[in-house]
Order: sequence, then structure tokens, then C-alpha cells
Amino acid sequence: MIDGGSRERALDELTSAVERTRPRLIDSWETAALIESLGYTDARIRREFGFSDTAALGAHVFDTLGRKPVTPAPLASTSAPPDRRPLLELANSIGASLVYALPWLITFIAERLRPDAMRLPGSAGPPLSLALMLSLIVSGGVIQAISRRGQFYIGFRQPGLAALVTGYLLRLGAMVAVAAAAVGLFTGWYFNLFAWPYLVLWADEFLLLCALWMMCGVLAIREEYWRVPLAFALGGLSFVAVHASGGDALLAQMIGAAAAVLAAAIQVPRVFVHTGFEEQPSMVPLPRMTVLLYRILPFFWYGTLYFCFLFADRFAASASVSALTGAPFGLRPQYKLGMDLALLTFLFASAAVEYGNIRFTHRLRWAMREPFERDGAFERRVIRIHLRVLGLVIGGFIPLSAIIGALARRLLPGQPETVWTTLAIGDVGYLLLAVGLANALALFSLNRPWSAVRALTAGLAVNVTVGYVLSHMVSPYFAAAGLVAGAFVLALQSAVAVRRTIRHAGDHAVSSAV
Amino acid sequence: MIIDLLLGLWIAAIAVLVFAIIPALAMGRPAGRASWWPDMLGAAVWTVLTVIILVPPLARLHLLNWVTALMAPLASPACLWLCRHRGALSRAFRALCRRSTLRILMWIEHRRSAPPIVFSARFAGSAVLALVAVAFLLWTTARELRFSSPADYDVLAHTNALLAGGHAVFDPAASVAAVVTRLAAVDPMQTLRFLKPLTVPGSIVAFGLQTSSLNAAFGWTAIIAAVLLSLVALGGVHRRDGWHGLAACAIAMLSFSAANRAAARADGVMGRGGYVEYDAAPRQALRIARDFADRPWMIVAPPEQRVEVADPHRFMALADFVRRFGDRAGDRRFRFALPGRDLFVFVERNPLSVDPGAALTPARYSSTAAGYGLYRMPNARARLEALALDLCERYRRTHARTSVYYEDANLRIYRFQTLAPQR
Repeated sequence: MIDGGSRERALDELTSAVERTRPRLIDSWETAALIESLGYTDARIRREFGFSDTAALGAHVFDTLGRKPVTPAPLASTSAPPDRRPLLELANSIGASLVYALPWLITFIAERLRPDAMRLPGSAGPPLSLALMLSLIVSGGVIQAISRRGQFYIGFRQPGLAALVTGYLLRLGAMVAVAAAAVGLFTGWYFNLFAWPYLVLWADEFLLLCALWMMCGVLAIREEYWRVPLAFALGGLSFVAVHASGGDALLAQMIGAAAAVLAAAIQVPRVFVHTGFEEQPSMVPLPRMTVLLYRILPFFWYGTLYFCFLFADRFAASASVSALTGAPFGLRPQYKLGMDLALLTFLFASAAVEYGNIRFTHRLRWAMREPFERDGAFERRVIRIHLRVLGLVIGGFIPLSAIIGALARRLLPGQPETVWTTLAIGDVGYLLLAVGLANALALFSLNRPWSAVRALTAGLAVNVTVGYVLSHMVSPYFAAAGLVAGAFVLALQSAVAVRRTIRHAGDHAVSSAV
Repeated sequence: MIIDLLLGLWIAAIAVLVFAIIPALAMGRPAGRASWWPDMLGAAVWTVLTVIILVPPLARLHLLNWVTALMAPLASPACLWLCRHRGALSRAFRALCRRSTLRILMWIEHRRSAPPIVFSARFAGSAVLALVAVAFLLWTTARELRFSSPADYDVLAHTNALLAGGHAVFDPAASVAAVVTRLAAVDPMQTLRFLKPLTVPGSIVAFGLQTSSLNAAFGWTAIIAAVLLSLVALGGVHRRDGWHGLAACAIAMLSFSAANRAAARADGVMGRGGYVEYDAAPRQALRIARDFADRPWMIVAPPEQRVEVADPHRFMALADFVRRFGDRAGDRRFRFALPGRDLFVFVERNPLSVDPGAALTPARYSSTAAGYGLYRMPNARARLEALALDLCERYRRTHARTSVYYEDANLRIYRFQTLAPQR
């Protein structure tokens, strides 16, 4: 039997513990859940405090804390956010975007300076372009899943578990890639899309690239941004070496890709090495893999849909060239140049999206540490943070597109006007896509991954429908209209989803967010 | 013949899968019904109607390809699903996704302990019986590649136009044939050849009424389907059965409308059956198109082959050929001024005697070829074939690089390798 004094003291301690754990309580249910998480069962509560169950005790603790005068938490006493390294974060974001933007830029420049060196023999161009796009689409989802789960376990200082889960996802990705290659081979043969040698070439390149992208996904888990460029650099060196020794562009490309895969594969085990800061490996039971798969499904779909969205206009434009003129599947050179330049802008500008997401997460976390206010101030604050992030993305994209556009006009004189029109339309589309992606990442931070996936699906559906129909009805150049329309839908729907999450489900969403 | 039979089974399997089985599975079977056939028939009716309506605009916009053809079987179930869940689409879609995801994950979880799929002996027996029945049907009704009605060559021409894109041709049989051709990855002529046995109930009625065109067969088959579906609807198992019957009536109306339009063009003479070419002619035309796909070639033949080779630039009418080159073929210095490198001339050693009914049936495909009456009237045809034979023999005696590509008792195909045009 516990006497009254001890009971009061225990109750005060519990109330303090709850307050320390969660300074911003939303309601009595959250309080009850916190009490349960501190190890209190109904029986223990009845025995130690005399309350009937956790719900009753939760209501009592919530009332007690609600009556207490609002005292800002120590961390909230300063106006500066907890993270004081914005420059480092910006540099990290730029580094992350350069990982893919720089190889793209180098390839682009090489294509312009030495077109003969990059020219593929025979009709190998279309199947290899298809292999590149399809490899990113097929492996995109697996890359997202690997990245999210890997970072999760590395964040818990459990590299062993990260290696185990990543290995499982890699094997799954490899199986999916092999199955996709088999389906692609059958489809290409059955519908007579390419001749057999080119189909085999397609499958070879597709599998190589899938392996490369998935390895790159693993290498990026620890945010060691030098690992991916190192693999690309070794691949590039192999390409140059083979080409210099008399090999044609096709052979050089295949050997270059294989060398990059090899370089990435050699580095993979190093990602999961214990640095000494992590806990020693322990026998932690893994979650059931089906449960794990269910948890990572939204990330998987997000990655897949993102790459589908990125290449939908190119698929539509290439297919329409084939349907309207009877020429082989492929892009018009002017369309390709314009959209390549726009994509270059987008790849560089993705640093702003990345940085915006980091700032959003930090500022949101900071806002959550402040005491709960019932007058909607918190919602207004989150909305302000979101708007600031969107401003950052738009403010980063527009100057970049202007610089790249101006540089391209100066360095590529004599190009027809259609190139610059395509570039301008592509820039608008990619700007809207960047806004949509910033919103999607915000939704991920707000623990609403399926809302992001839904917005991306709607955008992709509009992109494919508008681009495919207009490019076939009018001209292949109208595929870019699909990109703009789809990106607009994505930006709009994701922005509405973010606002709705903050306004209507703000507290509940944010309480489990980040 | 075995290869033909396998091809027929393949086309029949694709047609049944695309037009009946997949849509029926997607639509589902209403509770309280033991048999699948009413739903299979209903699903087939809706899919055919969807294809008839959608294919002409898709072709006009160059959007008819294997991707859109693959979507054909799912179009009507998707419409039904949208109609069924109107007002709560988002929720229904979410539930569908969740259900499907969990089903896949549960399969992954229990795949090792799951019992193997075993087909019952009754199911296997039924499948084998159905296969044998279809094989027998194809064996007895579609042994020949050539069409038994001149009107069917119009359907073939329409199918080719739909597949080429840029034209909105309204022809129900051609629309269905275009989708099956895309999905079965075969020649449209083979598709039409084997589609006819699949509409055998309607074909029998159409033949009895001396209107043996594929569209008429479609129309009568749809009427029979409408009657059967109406009988099912009387059972009152599900309210959608009545709508199935209505859709079948719509198909019948559209098919008869297309058949009647063809008849109106022919001044009211309904298409009677009868062959207008030897069976070897289309077989060899398709073989040439397949074997010489990567080289320029041209065939010289009666107008039926114009629609069989799809590309009109690869065809020259036999009458035109004789008129242009008949008097110079024996000259050693003479060369054919034709862009094709390989020239194939189809000559009938025994001129075909066209059935009077078929001869009197004007077909749109042949009206575009100059003097098509020459090919239908026995004397005119015999004279033309004799002139062509003489031309080819004279050329063969005086020129190198000539050979006989194919020969049987009735047909001879000369192959003349002409020089590429000088640039």
C-alpha cells in the first residue's frame, strides 16, 4: 500500500517526466500514450496513483500541465534555430546535387565538343537511350528505399543492420531488374521494336546501369559524397582509355559503365564499416521483411514515379517521331538539346530543393520544441516556414536557369529558335517540378508520404496524357507541354496537401513528423 | 498446315484473352451466379463496343499502337469501376491499392508454405476440349488464307489504314482486327482470316442471307449475343445483364451500318461470297513482305495484293505493268523504270474463274486500281494474264538476274532484280 505523500510525489515525478519528454502536449490522448510509453500499465497506475486507467491519468496530467504557466523551454529561449551550420548544409546540398549534375554536364560538353567520340555505331542510340531511362525508372524506387532505410539504421548507429537491410533491398532490386530486362527483351522481340543484336545490347546496358544506380544509392547512405564521383570518374577514365586505344564509342561506353559498377561495388562494404562511434554489433532481431517492404512502399513508389515523371516527355516525343514519320524511336535533335539544357538547370537547382528540405526539417523541429499554443500561431509559423522554403527553391532556380540559358546561347551559336523555345518551356516545367518536389519532401517530413505519392501520380498521369496526345496530334515538340501541365498539377496538388496537413491535421501530423 | 493451325490458335487465344477473359476477370462475377459464360460474353460485348468506338479517333491521332492496344481490354472494366464507385473514387482506389499490396505481401510471406496450384482434372479436361474444338473449327473453316468475300478485302484495307494511322475509318470489324493484329503481332490478313471462324454463328446467318462480309457476320453474332444476354437478364441475377444486351444491340447496329454503307457504295448489290484470287497469291505476297523486309521490293499483281502488302508504294497493278512495258520487254537494252530492286510479277498460268456473284460485287479496294473489271471478267482476265506471261517470258529470255520465285499449277511468280536508280 502506498501512502498519500509518496503517491503525490510519484505523480509529480511522472508529470515532470511527461513534460520533459513532450513540452507541447496536444491532448489527453497523447498524454496517455506518453505515460504508457514510460512503462505504466493500467494495473500499475491503479496501484501507484489510484486512477482507473491510463486515459484517466492522461487527462489528469494534461490538465495539470495545461494549468501550469507557460515557460519557454531552455532551447526556445534563443531565437536562433538549433542548427547553426547553414553554410555547411548548403555546401552539403550543393555537393549532393553536383554528384549527378557534374557527370551530366561533362557528358553534355563532351557531346558538343567531340560529337564523333560520343557517336554510337549503327542504330545503337535509341536502345541505349531507352536503357538509360528505363534503368533509372526501374531502380529509382529501390534507390529511394535503400537510401531511406540505410540512413535510418545508420542514424541509429547500427551499420550492421543497415548492411543487412540494404543487402536485402539490393537483392530485391537485382531480381526486379533481371525480371524487367526479361520482360523488356520479350516485349522488344514480340512487338518487333528493335533487331535482336540491339535488344541484347539494350538488356546488357540496362542491367549494368541498374546495378550502377543501386550501388550509387548505397554509397550515398552515409552522405560521403566523394564516393559516387569517384566511381563515375573511374568509369570516365576507362571510357577515355578504351576510346584512345581505338575502341568505338559503344565499346568504350560499355566498359566505362562496367568499370563504374566495379568501382562502386568495391566501395560498398566500406559504407557499413564501424567507425568506432557506433554501437557494437548486437543481435537485434530484424523486422519481418514483408513489414519492412510495406513501410518503404511510399518511398519506393516516390522514386519510381519521380523518374517516370522526369522522362515521360522524352518517351512521348520519341514515340511520336516514330508514329508520325516512321523514323526510328528517338528524339528530334533540337528538342533533345533544349530539354538537356533544361534538365541541366534542374539538376543544379536540385541543391536548392535539398537545402530547402533540410531547412524545413530543422525549423519544423525547432518550432515543435516550443510550448503548444491554441490560437493557431504554430500553424502560421509552419506555413511561413513552408513558404520560405518555396521561395528558396524558386529563388535558386530562376537565376540558375538564366545563367545556363545565357551561357548556352553564347556557347552554342547558330542553333535554331526551336531549341531556345524548348529550353524556355522545359525550364518552366522543371521549375514547377522543383516546387512540387520541395512540397513532396515537406510532406515526407510531415509524415504524409502517401500524399506526396498521390500528387506525383496525378502529375505523372497528366504529363503522360497531355504530352502523349499533343505530341502525336500536333508535333513531337508538344511533349514539353505535358511536362509543364503535369508539373503544374504536381506543384498545385502537393502544395494543397501540405497546407491541408498543416491546417487540418497540423498538430497530429506534426506531432509524429520529422 | 500445322503452322497455320498454330497461328490460328495463337490469334484465337489472344482474341479470347483480350476481349473476354481479362475483361471478365476485371469486372468480376456477380454473387449468385454459378456460371462464368454470361459475364465472359458481356465483357466481350463491352470490350468490342469500346474498341469500335475508340479505335477510329485513336488511329486518326496516330495513337493506335501496342501500348494503347494493350489498354483495350481494361477500358470497359475501368469505366464500370468508375461508374460503380462514383462519388468515392479516391477511397475506393486507396482500398484497391491497399488490398492488392497486402495480397502481394502475404504471398511473399507465405509463398514457401502455400500449397501448389493444382488444376482439377475437370478443368484440364475442359481446357483440352475447348482447344480441340477451336482447332477443329479453324481446320474446317479457315484453311485458306484468301478471303471468301470481296467485301473482306475492304475490311483488310481499312485495317491497314487504321494501323498506319492518320485516318479515322469507321469499320467495326477493321477496328477489332487492328487491335488483335497489334497484340498478336501478326499480319492483319491472318487476323481477319481467323476472326471469321470466331464469329461463326453470325457467319452462318450472314452466309444464309447472302451477305457474307465480316461486318455482317459481326452484326449477326452480336444479335445472337443480345438474345442470349437478354435471356440471362430475365433471370434477374444482376442489373448489369440488361446493359450487356443493350451493348450487343449497339454493336449489331454499328456493324450493320458499316455493312450497309459498303452495300450502298455498291449500288445496293449486297456482297456475295466468292474467291477473287488463288490461295497461293496472298501467301506468297506475305512471304515476300516478310523475307524482303530490309530491302526495297515491289510486286506486280491483281489489285487484291495491293491491300495485302499494306504499303501501296510497293504495288503495281498487273494491267498497268502490261500496258507500260508490254511492247519493250524483249529489248535487251530495256530496263524496268521502277524504284524497287526486286520486282515480283504474279502471273496466273490458269486464269482464275471468278464466281459471278463475287464478280458483280464492286469492292472499294479494287475500284482504286485502274480497270478492275479486267480482273473479274473471265475473258478479260485470261487475256491480261496471257499478255503478262508473254511479257515476263520475253524479258526472262533477254535479260540476266531473272528467276521464277514461286510456281505451282496455277500461279507463277517471276523475280526480276532491277538495278537501283542512278543518283
